[in-house]
Amino acid sequence: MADRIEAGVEYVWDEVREGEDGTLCIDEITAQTHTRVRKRHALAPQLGPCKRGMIRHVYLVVDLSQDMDDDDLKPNRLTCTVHNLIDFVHSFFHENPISDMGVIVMREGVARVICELNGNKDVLVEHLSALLHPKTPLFPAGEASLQNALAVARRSLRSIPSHATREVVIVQATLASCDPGNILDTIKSLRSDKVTVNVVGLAAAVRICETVCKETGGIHAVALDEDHLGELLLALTTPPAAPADADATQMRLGFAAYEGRRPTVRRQKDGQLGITTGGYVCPQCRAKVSDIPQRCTTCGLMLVSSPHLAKTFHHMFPLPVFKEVTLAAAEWCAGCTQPLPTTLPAYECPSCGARVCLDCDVYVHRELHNCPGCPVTADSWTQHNTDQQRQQHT
Amino acid sequence: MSDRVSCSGLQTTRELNATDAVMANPVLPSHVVEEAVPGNIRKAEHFVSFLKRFVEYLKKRLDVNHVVNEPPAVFLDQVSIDAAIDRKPLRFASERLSSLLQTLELTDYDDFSSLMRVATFATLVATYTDGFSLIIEPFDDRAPTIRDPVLHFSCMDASLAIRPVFERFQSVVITSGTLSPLEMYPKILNFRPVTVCTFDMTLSRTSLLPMIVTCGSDQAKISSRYESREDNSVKRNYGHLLLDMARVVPDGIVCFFVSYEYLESMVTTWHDQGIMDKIKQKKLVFAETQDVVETSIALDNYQRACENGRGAILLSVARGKVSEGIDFDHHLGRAVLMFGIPYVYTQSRILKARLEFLTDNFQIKEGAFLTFDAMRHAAQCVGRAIRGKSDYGIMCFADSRYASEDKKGKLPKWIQKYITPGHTNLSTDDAVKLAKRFLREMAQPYESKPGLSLLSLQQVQAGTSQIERSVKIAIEFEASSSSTPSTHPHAPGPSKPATSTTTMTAASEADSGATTMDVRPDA
Repeated sequence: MADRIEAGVEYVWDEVREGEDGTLCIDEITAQTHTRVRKRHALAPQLGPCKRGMIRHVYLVVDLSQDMDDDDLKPNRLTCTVHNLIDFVHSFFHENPISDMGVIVMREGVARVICELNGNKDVLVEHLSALLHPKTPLFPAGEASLQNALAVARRSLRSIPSHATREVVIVQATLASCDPGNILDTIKSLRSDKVTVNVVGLAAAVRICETVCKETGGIHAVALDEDHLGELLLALTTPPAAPADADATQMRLGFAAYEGRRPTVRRQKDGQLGITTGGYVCPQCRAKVSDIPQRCTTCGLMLVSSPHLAKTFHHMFPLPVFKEVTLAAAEWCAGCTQPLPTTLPAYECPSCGARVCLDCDVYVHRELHNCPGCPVTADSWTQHNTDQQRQQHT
Repeated sequence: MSDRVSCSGLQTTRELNATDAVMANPVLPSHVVEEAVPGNIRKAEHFVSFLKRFVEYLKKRLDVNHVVNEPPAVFLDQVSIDAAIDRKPLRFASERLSSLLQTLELTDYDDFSSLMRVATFATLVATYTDGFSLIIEPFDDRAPTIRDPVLHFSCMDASLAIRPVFERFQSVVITSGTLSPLEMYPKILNFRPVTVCTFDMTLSRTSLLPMIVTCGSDQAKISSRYESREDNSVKRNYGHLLLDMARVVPDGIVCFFVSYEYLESMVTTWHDQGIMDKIKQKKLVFAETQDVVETSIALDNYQRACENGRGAILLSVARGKVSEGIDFDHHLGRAVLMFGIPYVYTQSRILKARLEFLTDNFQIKEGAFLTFDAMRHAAQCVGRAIRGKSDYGIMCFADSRYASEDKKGKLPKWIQKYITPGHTNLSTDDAVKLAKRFLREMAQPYESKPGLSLLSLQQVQAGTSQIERSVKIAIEFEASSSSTPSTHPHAPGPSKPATSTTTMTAASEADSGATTMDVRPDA
């Protein structure tokens, strides 16, 4: 509500109403927020079935210039960004289990890699949360240099084999980039090395960021508020479409089998040795690892299981955007089976006609990737609705 | 021109040529051009001695210690008494000189430019008895002890410049983005408009943010009024406004000051107060100067700084080169700050004479005209930011006087529409907050709905075919009613081409006294 007061909406009290017990409450989902939420996720790129880069190499670039100290995102830009980035790392590895990520910070005119490319999300989260530590040496200071950050990322990404994507995700707070040379040359070399740059701005659209994204085929977006920042980052977890001319190469993957009987010494993720009974055995060198997906600690083979590859299936065939419909009669949500609010629009699946509420609409598109109505036939769904109505009357 | 000729008949070509001739020389009426050169200057030696006499007379006139302001008629009278020069030969001075130069086949016209200036002055002063005035200033106001006599011959009546257009064309359409209020123009240009129309901007999103900032963050009023120009708190508040905007606005910011002197003193104060260093950390700072070459270098670098992400601020002057000719579209001008109201220098003699003329002839009050003129320039300056439908920009009017209805009401309608009460009377902090919000919203992807602000190809084609159809109907209508006198309002007259669309730049140039001539003694 605070942001709405700041935004100059004068009639904030219209949303406040008196409850049955005499207390004041605010209608949580008004039509306005409805359209806002809806608009955001409908605008997310829907590419349809296409070839996608499943093995991704992403550098997160975190702006640590003094503009990061601003408090227009609550509690401040840095805290908000780091929290959202941690969420991003989690969902990134959830969606792209066989990918790598690294972290670069821009601070005092230089760019430093604080975490090299690796597939272990715990290490990444640890490095990111260290930025919020009160005694961290990496407190926001000085200017940010976009060119330096891009050059550092490029140097590391150019050695990645060509079947994997090379991506950079920049979270930028500053509006000015203090560069040592001509950034336009750096953009050209990024382009020739096929590095995709995505920028999420925290304040406004800066021309050079738009140019970088346009030239390298990335996404440029600006966060409106804290939630929107999270949503924008979340949109980047979807793997990008692979370029049409990407060469098909063979890569070795090990489908590690679960081994639960024999107690073995194995190297844990933090590098310590330990004895466990459960674990996965590398088919190449018979070494045991605690968890997959990850690289075999002994021979470096990528270890996965078939569900990991199957999990990325929905990226190929995304769920279509649901149509917005107004309700004529009382109906029940196909997702949560709660009555649909009549004052607000409902959302209809274009293939089966099942109607869901806003929350379910967001949930099925973001998490489930399946329409709850589609397995059920349209007739039985109508039947269900009539049954519900009958129950209501009796 | 050539393709127009190829597709139309000889008659049309002749008409078009005639039009070009009129447009090329709108200053001299036809009878002057057509009349024969009088006998006493027909011979070259007579003409040269005639010119010598006239130049000597001008020198004598310039040798005065007080300001002289007289109408052309009085001047002509004096010339005939003191130098025995008649009005008629004077009127032909310009033409005679150019023919003389042609006959002598002189190539180096630069040597004669001063003489040609004198001759042109002679022609003008003898041709127009009304609407001009002649002012001799022996001293420059800024240095009242050094003699620097200047003779101004200034056009007071803007309608003179537009009159040939009205005479030549049956229908004249005047269009402009910054004309406001419209009632002033028919008065100044002396015509009766058939229709006056104001169109809104059709924007698919609110892509402009006009804000009236009246006080600094310390709640002290900010204003560029003359009494508070030396006030350091005002200067400091202006500086902080720029600094805060530089923090939140990406890429380019353009600032307009009311004069070069004000710009200089402001920058000096900011430098002393340490504000300038802070601004320079955020963006590079460039300034417009009176030197054209310097200014174009500054503009070039400004553009480069905006392109490569460093961000830049351009400090310039209302009524300067930047304010009138250069577009700051998209990232080149995300925000325009207007520091103060750009009133003209009211102590100028030419302006005073012009105001007097307007009051006498068109009953336009002095104050009303000054405000009208200032607001027009302010609108022109801030209008530099938005140059297209996909563009967006912040317009910041930083002066407490902008908040009054009188000033606000004189801004163009398309700006006024977006000045809500929430955008008036702001302090620096409020303005920054609004700007932040606005910039975030504008950065969101948007779909421009074809048909509202932009037309799709089909819509354009449909529109064209509709126009073609209506033209066909009009032609048929004329063919059927050719036996009776034509009553069709748009039927082309026998000799007049139907319509001329002139953008207001021509008229406003005339209106701002572009035909002012300065004659210096070294001429």
